[in-house]
Amino acid sequence: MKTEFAVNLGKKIFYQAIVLVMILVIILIASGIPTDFNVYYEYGQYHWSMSLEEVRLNIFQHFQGFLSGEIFDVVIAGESIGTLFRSAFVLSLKVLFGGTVLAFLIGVPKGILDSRKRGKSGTFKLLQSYIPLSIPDVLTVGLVQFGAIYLYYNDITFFGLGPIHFLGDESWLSTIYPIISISILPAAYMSRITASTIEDLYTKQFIITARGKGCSFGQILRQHMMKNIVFEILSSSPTIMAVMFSSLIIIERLFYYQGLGYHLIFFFSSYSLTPEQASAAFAVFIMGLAFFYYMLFMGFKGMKTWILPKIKES
Amino acid sequence: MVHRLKRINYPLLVGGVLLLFVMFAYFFPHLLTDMDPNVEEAAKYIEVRRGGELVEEYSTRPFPPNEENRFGSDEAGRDLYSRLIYGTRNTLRVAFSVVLFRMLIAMPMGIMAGMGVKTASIVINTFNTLFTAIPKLLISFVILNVAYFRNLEMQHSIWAFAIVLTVVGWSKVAALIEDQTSRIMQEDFIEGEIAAGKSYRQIGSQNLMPHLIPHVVSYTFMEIGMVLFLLAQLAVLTVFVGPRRIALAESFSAGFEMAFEPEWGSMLARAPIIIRSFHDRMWLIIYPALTFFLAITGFNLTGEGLRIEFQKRSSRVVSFIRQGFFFFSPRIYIEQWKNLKTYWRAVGVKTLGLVAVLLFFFFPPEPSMVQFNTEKAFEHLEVLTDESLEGRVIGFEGGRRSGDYIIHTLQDYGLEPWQGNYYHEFPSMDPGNTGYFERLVVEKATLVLEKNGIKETFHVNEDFFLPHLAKSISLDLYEGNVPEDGYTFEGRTITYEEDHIEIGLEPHIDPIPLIKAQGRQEVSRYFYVQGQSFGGSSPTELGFPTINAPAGVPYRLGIIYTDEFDDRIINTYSHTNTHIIPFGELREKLENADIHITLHLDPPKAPDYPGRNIMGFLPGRNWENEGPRDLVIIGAPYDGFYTGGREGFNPALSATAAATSLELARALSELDEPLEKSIMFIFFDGEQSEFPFRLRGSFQYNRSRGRFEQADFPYTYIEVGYTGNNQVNRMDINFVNGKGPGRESYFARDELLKRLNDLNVDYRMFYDNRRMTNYSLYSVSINSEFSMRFGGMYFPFMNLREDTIDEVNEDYMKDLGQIILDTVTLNPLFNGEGM
Amino acid sequence: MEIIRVENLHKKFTLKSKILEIPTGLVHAVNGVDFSIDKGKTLGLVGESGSGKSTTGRLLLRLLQPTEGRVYLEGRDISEIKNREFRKIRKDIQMVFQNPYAVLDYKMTIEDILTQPLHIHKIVHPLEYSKEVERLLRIVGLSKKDRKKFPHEFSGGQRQRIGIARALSTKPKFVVCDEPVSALDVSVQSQIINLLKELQEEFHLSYLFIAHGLNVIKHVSDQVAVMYLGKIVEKGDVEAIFQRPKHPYTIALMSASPIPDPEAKRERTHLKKEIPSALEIPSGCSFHNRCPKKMDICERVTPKLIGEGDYQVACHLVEGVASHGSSA
Repeated sequence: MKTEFAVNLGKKIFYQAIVLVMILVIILIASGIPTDFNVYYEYGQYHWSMSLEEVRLNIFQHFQGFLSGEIFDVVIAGESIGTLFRSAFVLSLKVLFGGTVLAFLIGVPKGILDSRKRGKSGTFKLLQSYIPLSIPDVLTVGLVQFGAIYLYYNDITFFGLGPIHFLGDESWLSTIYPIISISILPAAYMSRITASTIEDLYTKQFIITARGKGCSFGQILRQHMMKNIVFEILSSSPTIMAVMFSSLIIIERLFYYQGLGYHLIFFFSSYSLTPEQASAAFAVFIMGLAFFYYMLFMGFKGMKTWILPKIKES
Repeated sequence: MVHRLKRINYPLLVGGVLLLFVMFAYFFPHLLTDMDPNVEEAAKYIEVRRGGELVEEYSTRPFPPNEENRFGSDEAGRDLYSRLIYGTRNTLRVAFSVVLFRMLIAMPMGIMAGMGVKTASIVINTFNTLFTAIPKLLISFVILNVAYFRNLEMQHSIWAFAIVLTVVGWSKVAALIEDQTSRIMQEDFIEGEIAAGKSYRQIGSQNLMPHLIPHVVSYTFMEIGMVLFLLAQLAVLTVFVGPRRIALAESFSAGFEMAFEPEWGSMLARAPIIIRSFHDRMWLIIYPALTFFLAITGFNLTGEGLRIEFQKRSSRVVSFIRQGFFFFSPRIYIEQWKNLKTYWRAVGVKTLGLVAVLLFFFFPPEPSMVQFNTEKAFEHLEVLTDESLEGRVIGFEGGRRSGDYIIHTLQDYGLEPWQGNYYHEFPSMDPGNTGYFERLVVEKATLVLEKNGIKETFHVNEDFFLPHLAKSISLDLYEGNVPEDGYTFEGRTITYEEDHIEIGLEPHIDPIPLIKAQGRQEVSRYFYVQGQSFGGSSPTELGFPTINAPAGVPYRLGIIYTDEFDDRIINTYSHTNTHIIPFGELREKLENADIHITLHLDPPKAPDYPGRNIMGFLPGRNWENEGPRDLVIIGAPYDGFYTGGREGFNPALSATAAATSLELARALSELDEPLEKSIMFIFFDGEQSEFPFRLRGSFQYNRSRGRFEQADFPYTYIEVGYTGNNQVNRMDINFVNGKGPGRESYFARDELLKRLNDLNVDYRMFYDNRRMTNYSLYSVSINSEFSMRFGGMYFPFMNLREDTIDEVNEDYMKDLGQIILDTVTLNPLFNGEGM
Repeated sequence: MEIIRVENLHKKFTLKSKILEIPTGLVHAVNGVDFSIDKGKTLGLVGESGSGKSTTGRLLLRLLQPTEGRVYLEGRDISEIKNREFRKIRKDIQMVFQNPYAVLDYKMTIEDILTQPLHIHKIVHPLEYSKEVERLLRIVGLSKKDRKKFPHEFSGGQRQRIGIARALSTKPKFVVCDEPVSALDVSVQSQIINLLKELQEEFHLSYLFIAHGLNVIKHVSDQVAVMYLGKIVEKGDVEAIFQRPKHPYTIALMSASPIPDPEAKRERTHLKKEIPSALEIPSGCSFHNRCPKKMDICERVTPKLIGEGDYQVACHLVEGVASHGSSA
């Protein structure tokens, strides 16, 4: 029995490791393709702008640089990629973390509110929980910017803070608008999950018992439902994370907030770097991002599978 | 009443309404707006509301929302509202394609996985893990940002997006389907079906499908919503479908890529830049973003609404759909046919419907009003490639006679002279003008090498080419001062090992021996530049800028070394200096130092006649009107390269344009009823000239006479290009937008594309693409409403030995001729009928 | 003539943990079952829930795979036949399911439900499908107008009739009736039972009738087998079992079932505890921890089914009476 346990565990870990390696390899290959690789059409014939051999060579060198660690020392605009990565990472982390917390703070209460009225008014309430999910990031940012510009140009401050400039990342103040923008979608997801969990549980036996005993809604919520809500949200964490990471890129770009996402796009499309610098930097950043993402992902999964069921049972 | 309100499926209702809107814009854009989405306006007076009142002010692009442009305009001055409306089709087409492909893979995989095929399940899972770890956005961006994908034209672009986004995203839907399938398979009735003896496949198709389909429908709608979301994100990162062109400094803002086709994503591509001056330019971002939002919401809500409906066991919507399935089921249809007596009404209705659908898809295209007769065109081609014409060189006897032939033919067809003349002449010699490189003919030249007492003689066109003669020689010709025994160059080779000069193109960087010309000390360096000449529009392949060579020095000689030698004709032009291109044995020999060279030229021949552009005119019905009358100008080059120097060469491709155009003239002249618009045919002389362009007929036309047409008549220009040989089966078409206000090119192009499809032509369309624009198209198009060239502007195999009349691709010429004819006669924007 | 014979049928289920899929327990649902049924006869299989009787039925139809044992259909060993071949055999072995609500595909019309088996096994020519469906409906007491309706438009009893009609559509030789009336109202139960009996007469069907209620079994069966925790503990003619039950478990079952005669005298046997989980089958005689007449030997040794002719019982008590054959 013990050996079977070990073997199966080993198999699972091995499988996950393989997947991680595959991911990293794919990323390295994709980022190793030179950005000016092109096929063009002239006088009735197609021509490659560079031979496949050259592309392969480039990818190969890419791998080498990465595995040997040299890639981190490449210098861009006076800083090594390693340092650049660290600072961008911190910036992005602030926004992601803030966004998640804000989403939670908005989403769960909203979900609770939604669930109370749902049964009574049919599908109308459903509408307003689905609509926020359909807002493209660019519109969110547009509207936030709209508000931000208004505040800025009218010199409006909050508790002595501001006026906050609506672009860039000078101070911690400039994380506010990105955080607001990035939290909308996850909040919508979380509110939906909360609402449907509450609804599902409402008809379950042990809740009915509790109601029968005379507990108020608030008490039921705290004692019985909260754990489930958190569990459900954690279950959907892959989806929410994926959405947040994609949105991060767009939002950083539009706010000129120089976190990971911003840099990724910058490396790809900037003219001020040589192709070697650009692909090296891009590779490092995207590997870092993928790695970070994967770790988070596995972390959530582990939490969901091992820790929470124990809490649930208690 | 409140109870009733509760019953309504709000998501479905709201989503349905939004979708109705969106699909209306998809199918009937012209009913929602009458502005052309591609017309660029630079500056105009607009009417805006200020403080409640309508005020007129002057504004440059981008225009803020005003009375005429409901949503304002984009940075190019194109109306935003109509671009969004017309863009619906393109954007949705991408979304639909992606979802279709995804479903094609996800459904079989998901069903298999749900029914227990472990491999399928593992594959789905792996893809899911893979693409959850790498944000889809990022990997799609990386792949689609490669230059190759950025340069595809619309249809191929859509395919590329569909494939990439499918590979990246199919597994999510597959997992949903897998989940739903296994859920259904765990229902109790499945056990009953197994007991009845069904195989898994039968259970799959007979039991699973009716349960699964409703869910799949709902998933499809939601996928479309999600793909649109992704497209909006990609767009902000400047990845979108469709061809683009570089907006140059001559336009409004230099150096960025601007989309040609209307498409929602392309309008968000500049978002990061626009957002810097957001307060000034809000409409540029808000309106496209809002449009995305509405469409995404529409699809999402509809998907959710359907899901809710399908959960209800007794849903009116579901029974409606089921009845629909019943109605449209082919099996039932066949059954009803079998019992015709009872079901004749249903059969009748369905058959009518079937016929209508078939007609719609297979409806024969409108027949051409007039047919292009390839045989007749080839007759012209035979005449024009007759050996006696020696290649129809501008200004020479052959060229003159070919021009005469064209004039007579036009007269035979009943075309009138244009403004009193059948032709317009321009000088073929202008030696005082250093920008003017005349065509000259050298019939005999010898090169004698002497080293260590051994002499060897080489001949022009057999061992070397003589592409250039110094300007001073042409001056001599012009003034009649040519020495009787011709010209002689003498010198000795040296190797010059100093550093080379790079010019940014690929120079031939080995040290090149130079001739020390007799009596002169001037030293020049020459290189062979691979590829094409500067500007890419001249028919010659070699271009060689000269450095450190004082102009006008008469008796200097340069040698050009090439790595590749094509068996072709090279013609002689006047130039700043005299050059030869040695090949084969001679070239090898010349690479050594210390050889004494003597080059002797017999007196070259100058053109006897001026260059001649030939015009013929077919007045239309509008010619009698007062005021500006619309004109269609059909242009074609008719000159060629001198063939007299080499044996066994008779290139035909350079004559195909003229031959085609003559046949067009015949066809249009024989119409029963004249067209609304008038047509002017123009045959350009001297088009096979070098850079700079001053010798070209189109240059001469544009800068002198053309001024009058372009001022007085709004015109569209169609250029007849060269026909390809039998190895080319795709016609190049270049479409150039007009530069003035109010030109309705979008619709014209739409019609053109439809017609090309109707005629089954294999084509490649370029939009305003500098690389594919030759000089005549470029210059004449500037003031046109819009212009197009059908056919090639150049082929690498022109003037080679293989370039003969047998190799000319008849089908290509037929397609070329026919599409021009149909465009002029049937396209509403051409034949004057309007939209 | 024997139509079905079952020898040493076993079915084990392995429970696996969720995360790592390690086996955590074994359920021995069917633990060595033998019986045979003659043509035209009904064997009633009775037991509490958890005794393994439904599993046995499913094993016969190969809705589950036996872990061990042999099944013979009309003398032919069908245990080793591969699934693809077995599908053809399904024509001869059919099942009437317990839950009439769940067992019909609610998105198909009755006509489709009844036609599909006809099509699969090519019972009649396609042009005859319609007629055959009418016939089947008539047989089970429904009208041909019900063809185009959906299952949810019928009552429970009617749906069970449809289930029966479907089972009969392939003209089977043997039908497993898995608690066909347990989910129905009492008033409807007798109608369905009578229908089943009529059909058996008319079409010479053989039944394995599974139930947990004794009255039903008595009414329908020719022979009865009593199951407990995967084993048959007593088996014999219906009269023998009902009038002279020998196994303590059978006795307890009889005494628990109500007799509609207020004056009938009965001894109530009360069983201690409840039926244990199939995960922890007691050693020796699986009934020993509830048996009021338990002996020492019962904890150690598993009794075998022994008896004369058709009547067999597995109990150490009876062994003593029936002379030799006790396994020490």
